[in-house]
Amino acid sequence: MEDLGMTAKLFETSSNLQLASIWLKRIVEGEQVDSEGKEVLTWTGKFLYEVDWSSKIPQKTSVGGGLALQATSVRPTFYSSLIRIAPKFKEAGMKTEEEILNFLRCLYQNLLTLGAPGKGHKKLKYFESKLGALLLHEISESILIQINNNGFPRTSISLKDEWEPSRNEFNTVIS
Amino acid sequence: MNSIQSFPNILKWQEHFQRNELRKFALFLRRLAEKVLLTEDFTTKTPQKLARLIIETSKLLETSIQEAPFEFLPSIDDFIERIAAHLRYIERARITQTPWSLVHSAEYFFKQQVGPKSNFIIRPTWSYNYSLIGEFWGFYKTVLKCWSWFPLDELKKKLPFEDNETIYCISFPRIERQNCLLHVNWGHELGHIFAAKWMETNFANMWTIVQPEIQKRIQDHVKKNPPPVDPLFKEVAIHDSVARLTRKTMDTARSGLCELVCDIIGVHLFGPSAIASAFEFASRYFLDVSPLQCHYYPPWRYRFREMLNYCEEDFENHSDISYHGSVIKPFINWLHQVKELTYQKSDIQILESNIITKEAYDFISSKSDIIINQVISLLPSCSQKQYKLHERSEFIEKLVERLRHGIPPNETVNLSKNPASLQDIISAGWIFQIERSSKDIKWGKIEDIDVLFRLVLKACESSHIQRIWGPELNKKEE
Repeated sequence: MEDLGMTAKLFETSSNLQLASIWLKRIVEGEQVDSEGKEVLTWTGKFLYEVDWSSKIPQKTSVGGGLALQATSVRPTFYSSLIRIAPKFKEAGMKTEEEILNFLRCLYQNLLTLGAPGKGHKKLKYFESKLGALLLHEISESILIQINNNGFPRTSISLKDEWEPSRNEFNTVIS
Repeated sequence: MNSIQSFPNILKWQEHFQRNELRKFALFLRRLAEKVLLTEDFTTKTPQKLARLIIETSKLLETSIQEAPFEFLPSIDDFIERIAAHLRYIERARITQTPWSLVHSAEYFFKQQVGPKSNFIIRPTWSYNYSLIGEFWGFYKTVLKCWSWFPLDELKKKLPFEDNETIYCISFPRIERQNCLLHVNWGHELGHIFAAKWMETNFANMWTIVQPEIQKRIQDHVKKNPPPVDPLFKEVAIHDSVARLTRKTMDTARSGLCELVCDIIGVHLFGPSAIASAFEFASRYFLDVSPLQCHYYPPWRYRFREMLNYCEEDFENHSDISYHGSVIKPFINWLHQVKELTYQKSDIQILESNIITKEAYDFISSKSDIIINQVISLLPSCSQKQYKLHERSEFIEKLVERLRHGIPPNETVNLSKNPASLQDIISAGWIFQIERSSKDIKWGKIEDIDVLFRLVLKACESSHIQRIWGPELNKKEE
């Protein structure tokens, strides 16, 4: 079955992340957040908390099963995007994993507070907002590419590494 | 001018060019859809409904693209490409492409199950497969709702169907157009609608309860053999690996469960004929392939075991109703042979040999009974009761008798007020086919099979006409 429902959900996720990326850039330019922006920024904050296993928030707001499931689908894309933009983190002066994880937590909090400082977190600096916007854009684009293969035909007969042993996926249980 | 100064202009030029291309793309799509709509030789009105949806959507996209933020242009392009490809469903639904005498009764049957607001396109596909695509209108709405600049309400007003209607497309292999007995696989495809409904509301809650445990076992597994580590991303690299395995486990569980539930819906609606058609379809493939090697589909042997278990009652000899008499017995014997294939547990060994499939199928086997009951409860009241062959045997034997005489099995007596149901006709077709080929090794030539298919197709058409127009004609006669 070609699951149009699943495709639509991924479209929705990609659109929300893209819109949140646009809003992060607008906020840093001093624009007021409207109701649509408010909705999408809050959703993105909650969603990324759910996606990122390192977020470690003390009192996690409970999310619906639907969002948790969506998070499971998007999580590998999130980590891949993070690794892909690693040079940007280094350029921004983040030298350790801890610094990056702190930045991410601060980003999620800022999304939830619509860019305002709050309890336990600072307002994102200009370059941090840009970096956050870049990460959201990267995840959004990556989801879209997975849906449309960037316009290229999907190869149907090339042999693929179906068990991906290099990623531990097919180490047998009984071995 | 140096490169830094020219950069913003180049971006603007690129945006302008991209926007124009998309507008042109939407315009071409509209014109093409209008041409397709002009072809009026469709068996039902549903292809036209989808064509109108494409025309109106592309018309509004054409005018509203100007308002879209630049960052959204790639997703608009993808959406237009996607809906352009939907035109092929319409184009292939023309009368000459389909088993037209079956299309009306099949759509009537589908609507009975899914509801009067559902619409179905039936079309052939050159690839050897059955599939259900959809739901179209829901897909369009979800995507277009994300774009605040798109006038969705205006689109709704222009459509030739109501907002709560649904459109699906059911495909069958072109080479099997006449093979109405194999088209029982549509029962499985119909099952996808109910499985999707269940998944939408229940799977997430059920999965989120078990996921932490599964994730923990996967994490232990990864930590025993950690991936190569980038010093900057030690924790992230492990999370990445665990996330991939967990997603794959969830996808394996979800897809496997979905296919198994659909198999059961097929058997629930059509009885053992659904197993026969699934077996005919699968007989050319390997029975024990890991879901990880074939897009998460469960091994065929596993599927047959589950389907056969579901209609166990039909394998018992019901002596009180002369079931397993000479007419039905060859068919039951044939199914017993399929059953024997499932005694071997090589599929289970494959599933248990890998952490992803093991976790996914442990989940499936522990939940499938409850889930199947819940999905069956989503069927309309008229279909809550399982179709059981032994309960229909007396009537079906009479239909088989008609086939023997070269008469379409649409009724048991001439001008009957009780036309045979689609399920009874198909069951009779299967029973006749297996009986003939078991008794006469020469039977099975293309002419024999062709005659059988034509009789069954004719019966489907006639019984449908009798059901729809019969009551009215009877009134006039009175």
